[in-house]
Amino acid sequence: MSLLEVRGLIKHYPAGGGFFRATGERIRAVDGVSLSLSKGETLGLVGESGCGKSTLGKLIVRLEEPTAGKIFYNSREITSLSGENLRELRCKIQIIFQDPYSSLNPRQTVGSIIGEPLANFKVGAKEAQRQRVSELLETVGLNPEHISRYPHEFSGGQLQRINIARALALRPELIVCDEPVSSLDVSIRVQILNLLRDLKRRFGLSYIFISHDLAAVSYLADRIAVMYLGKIVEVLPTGDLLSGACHPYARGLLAAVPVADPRQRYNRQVVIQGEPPNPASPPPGCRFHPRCPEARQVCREKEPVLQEVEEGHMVACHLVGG
Amino acid sequence: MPGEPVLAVDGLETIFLTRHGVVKAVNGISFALEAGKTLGLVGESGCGKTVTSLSLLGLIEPPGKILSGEVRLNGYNLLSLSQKQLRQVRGKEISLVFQNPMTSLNPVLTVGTQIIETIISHERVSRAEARQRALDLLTRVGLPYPEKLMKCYPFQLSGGMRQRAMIAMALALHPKVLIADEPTTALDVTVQAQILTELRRLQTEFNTAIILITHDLGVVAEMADEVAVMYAGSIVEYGGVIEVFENPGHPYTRALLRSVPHLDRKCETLEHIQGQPPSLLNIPDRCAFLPRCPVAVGECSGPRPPLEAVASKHMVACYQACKVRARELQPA
Repeated sequence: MSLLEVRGLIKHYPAGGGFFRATGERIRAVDGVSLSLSKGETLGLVGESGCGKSTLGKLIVRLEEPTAGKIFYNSREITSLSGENLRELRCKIQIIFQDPYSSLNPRQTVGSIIGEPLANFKVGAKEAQRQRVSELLETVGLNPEHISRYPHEFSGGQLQRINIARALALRPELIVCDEPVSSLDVSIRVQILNLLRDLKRRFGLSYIFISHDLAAVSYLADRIAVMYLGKIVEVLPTGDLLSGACHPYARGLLAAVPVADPRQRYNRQVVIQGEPPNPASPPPGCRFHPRCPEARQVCREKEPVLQEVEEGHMVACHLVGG
Repeated sequence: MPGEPVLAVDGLETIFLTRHGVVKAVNGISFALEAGKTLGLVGESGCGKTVTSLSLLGLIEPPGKILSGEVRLNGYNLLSLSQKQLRQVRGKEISLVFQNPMTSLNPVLTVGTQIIETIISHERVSRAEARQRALDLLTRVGLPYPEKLMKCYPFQLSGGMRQRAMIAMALALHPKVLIADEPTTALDVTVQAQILTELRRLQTEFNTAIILITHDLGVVAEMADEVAVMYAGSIVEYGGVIEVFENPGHPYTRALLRSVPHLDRKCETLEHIQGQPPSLLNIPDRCAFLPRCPVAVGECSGPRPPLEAVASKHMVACYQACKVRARELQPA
């Protein structure tokens, strides 16, 4: 049984045409996405900037209202929850953002930041809450004695740990991690990736791990979903990524990742040219066709659907499978 | 045969005088670069990479100060030139591409105007001629519709296009040295791959020496001929790219290389370096990596280890590295 299921999710934003002038143009940030996540699983969501991966994350956490489509959590529809029901859902689904600085209130102490969800949901007495905050600090590898410090006294990596502690406070089941390591230094990145990995094992968490960094995603994820211009174009088990990825975009993305081996530098070819088109007016047919090295006539005319090519492996491409 | 270096930096030391004390951003570094070659300057944020590049161009302003050192370009010392002389050198002999092209382009001038201005301010050419050269440059960096682009303002371009325009401008006067400071960090991998390819092609064409500043070891492996690893304002390892990647001598380099997730190697758990880089404020004169080092011994708390050769064209600043290497070299 899946913990989370998303069906035909769509989010369109009105595109601004300048002051007081709506153009009727719409940015199709997420344009028909279906996916599922099992309990204890990590789903990696990769794609270039502007492909809608963050919007999808926010939709799942219900920080954004979908234009259409449905979201199920534990088989219960949560798409239009509101008020107290939505508040209750927040205990189960949490989110960690990319920028650890801007997602913490600079005028709150660490103790009050991490304790806020506890106070908000009245989890235990004051003293018990304080105890829990210390415990959380320890869980994420921070010194519990720093409980009354302010965010500016911490480094980026430590701030991200505070964000993680806050997300963990209510013992959630699902955490959406939106580029949690992208703004951190190389040596700190691995610390946080390893922390997320340990926490998952310890608390039986499920993650949706959003990143543009394929290597980081493949380190944590069980399955990987590749997004392009608001659509998922391929979903496959992480282990099959290198050998099995067959959507031309997924392969191009893989080829573009620099390999930390100087002997391999001339084996590489740039496959994908140009940049993603404007999501307000995606190209007809397959959205990737203008950049696709293998595009044919059918790709310009008909939009491919995401279909299973083998168990657990779905691709949306005319050139693959049927 | 190794050629004469176009750029030689010797004992560069840049400090910032702050209320809290002296920040040693660059702590006596030396390196040399040949024409047409690329030096990858790697390190984490705050290790002094960017201050190094600004120092080379004489762009350090108070409270910053270049304490000592030499930057030899074509045989003369850049650090002893007057501001007026420096203006002649910047752009013409040595130029710079920053990480964020939006903040380094003038937002109220068109791309064309900015490139033309660069050319005219250094060379005695007519505006029409400069314009023709600008068009040619935009084509060379792989931008479509150069005529149209000349009339565009920076905000009308995408990040990748802006960075290409920046590179066009930086190469407008065929400088001998190009400093590229995290040129692709803000871009998507697909665009990064295109820009790196372009940069390499232009390098061959103009025989430019490139100092590539980055924190991404993948980019270094892809581009650099030589690597200098910086930690807390010092170069801790310096050598040929293959040598450094395959036989890293400094524990920091080894840890950095091990902490990069590889796509093709599925491993259980990546090792990570404990702790975080030190503050550069009032930095003590000893090995800066000591508090985080997994192989430190008592001797390491002595004075700062000098950069010493462990193999031909490979230098490491670590007491342990030399020992380990010496033990390996000794016949059993």
